[in-house]
Amino acid sequence: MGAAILTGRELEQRLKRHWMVLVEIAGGLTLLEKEMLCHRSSLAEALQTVAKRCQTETGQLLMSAKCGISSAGEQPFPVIWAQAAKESGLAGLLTEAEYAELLALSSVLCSADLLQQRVLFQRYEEQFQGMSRSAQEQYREQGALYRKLSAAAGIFLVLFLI
Amino acid sequence: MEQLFMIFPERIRKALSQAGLSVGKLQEIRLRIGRPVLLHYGGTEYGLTEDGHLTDVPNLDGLCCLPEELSQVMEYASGYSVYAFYEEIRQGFFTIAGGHRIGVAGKVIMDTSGVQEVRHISFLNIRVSHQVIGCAEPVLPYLLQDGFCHTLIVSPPGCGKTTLLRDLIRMISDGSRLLAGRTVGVVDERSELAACHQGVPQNDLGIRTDVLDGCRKAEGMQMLLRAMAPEVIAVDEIGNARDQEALEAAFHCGCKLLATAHGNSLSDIKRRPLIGYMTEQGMFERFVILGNGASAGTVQKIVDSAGTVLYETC
Repeated sequence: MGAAILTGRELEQRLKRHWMVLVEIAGGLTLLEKEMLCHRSSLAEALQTVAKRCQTETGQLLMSAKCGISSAGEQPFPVIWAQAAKESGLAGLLTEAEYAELLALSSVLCSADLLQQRVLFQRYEEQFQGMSRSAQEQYREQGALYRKLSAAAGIFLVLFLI
Repeated sequence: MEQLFMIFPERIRKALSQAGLSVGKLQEIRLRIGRPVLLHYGGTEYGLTEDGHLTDVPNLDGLCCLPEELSQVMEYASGYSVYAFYEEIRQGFFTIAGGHRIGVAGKVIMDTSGVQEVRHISFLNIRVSHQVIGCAEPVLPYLLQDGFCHTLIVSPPGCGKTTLLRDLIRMISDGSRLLAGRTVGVVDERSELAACHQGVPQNDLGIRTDVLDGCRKAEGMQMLLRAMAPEVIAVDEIGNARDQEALEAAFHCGCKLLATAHGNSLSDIKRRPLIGYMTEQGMFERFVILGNGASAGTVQKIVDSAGTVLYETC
């Protein structure tokens, strides 16, 4: 019964983590926009500053990207960002569509067009806020269901064994 | 040189490295989307092939710059932070590590206050920084008489007055057997003298030099006088009526002036209102006239305020 409950709890936690990551990405974008476009911090500095405030795998993504920028041997930023995303393990937490949007953030963070960069920041902040709201809904509905189902499965198993 | 080449994407970087260029001779690298990469090298313009050969007649068969390559140069040169150079790019250029200046051109967005932004950047001019340490050594002795004299360096464009000014600042600041080191305040309006990158001078301006980077001369001189107690104030390219008040304030505060002006000769610049006025008032004690002569930076003549020729090239 314990195992069944634990399985249910794990699934619930996974949904919660999925939601928290999306909240943190949306929040991270807002902070990055402020650091970059208001304070004019370099991208490396901005990534490091925001990474320190993260509590999920988002922090690792940002730090990996920062290290990718700072290391010798220039590479296009989308390559650095994709590598950082791979190292962060976020592919396992996000859906395919969400991960694709995450990879597309490279065009927001590194752009030669300031006007377009501002527009893209707004657009992707709203996008990730929308995704986090959906993930929250999913956590509330499915999380509760997993808890109840796992408890019921555990009780059924006990009764079956008796 | 290798540090400079790191701002280029792999294809162009490889061609530049294979060309075996000499640091001192490379003046400019020009990139235009869809057009040949051009080098100004040793006073001559060359094209470049993909395998690193210089060509006398650049054409579309040589190494041409792709749109994504130009974007990558902007990315790498700015540390992936083009937005951080927004203010500089509005003025048409930005300075990178090493003191090299990248001029930009593209679609300009204007409003009532002036240039807002340069978008769709499609043209880059990478001007390679060359500090000629020691070029002021033969000149400095003529600029001393009971200390450093108020000096104006005059030359046509491209004849080395900024290079000479830079080295004079360094020598005055560091001091030598001829002159004890002096505190020098520099108003570097176009970021050419110190070539500051993220606030750090990329050129050696000496150990006692303070720099106001990207600041207009008139405001900058006032700021230096108020707070930095300079013994010498150095500015590049005076001639604007706005500069007059600040130059007079500096002069009457007891600061020595070291400045440059565009001109072909002494009589040419004395016809200009500001410099003519300053000369009549005795605000300049020495005039250094440069020309192209044997090479850029050749000192043609050094004259004092009475018109006496102290030095002349034969």
